[in-house]
Amino acid sequence: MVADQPQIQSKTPVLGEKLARWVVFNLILALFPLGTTLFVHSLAGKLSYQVLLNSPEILFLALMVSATALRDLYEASPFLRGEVLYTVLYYALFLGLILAAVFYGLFVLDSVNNPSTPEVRAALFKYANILTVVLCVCSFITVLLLSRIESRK
Amino acid sequence: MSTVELILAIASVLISAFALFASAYAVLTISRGRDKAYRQKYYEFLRQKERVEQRIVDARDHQST
Repeated sequence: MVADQPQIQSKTPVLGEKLARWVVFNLILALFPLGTTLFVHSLAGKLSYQVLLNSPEILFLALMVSATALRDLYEASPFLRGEVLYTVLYYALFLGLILAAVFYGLFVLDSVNNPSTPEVRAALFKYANILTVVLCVCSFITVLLLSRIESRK
Repeated sequence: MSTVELILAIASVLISAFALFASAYAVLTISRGRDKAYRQKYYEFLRQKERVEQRIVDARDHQST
């Protein structure tokens, strides 16, 4: 079976390397904006739950993981296009990305129109967190699947 | 619950459920070993790519001589 594998695959990264890249470049770096916001508020001595409620930066993580997983799927389209799994993952990530962008817009709209609506803000924060966690899971599974397909073994 | 909250909740639940379904489908694919079939497709794609690249190199060599 090894003899059947083309020469070019020696350039492809192994499973662990791809997953480590996903953790570093998607999870950790995408959390930088939120981390910076919290750090600046803590330096100013104004760190509270309200600051977290008013921070839409968690949605950057959702956008980042969805966008990079969509790019990975797009790169795999020459050999995966037409598969049900490819279509389902692609549309789940794409719809999640659109909803994350809509949530970000609602955060901004709420800040402009009526910054003192704690109920709507709390609901936005709650659903944005749920969406972010689900998109992180979906993105991780997508990267895991593509890594298993493309990794040398 | 206001209308905005209701719309947010429905949109979040629907899209999260769809994303979780996609994730579960992918996990099932991996656990059943179906990803090996995709790997064969990937190797076939790489072979085709290599053949095309080789043809381009051969054509360039032919032109230069």
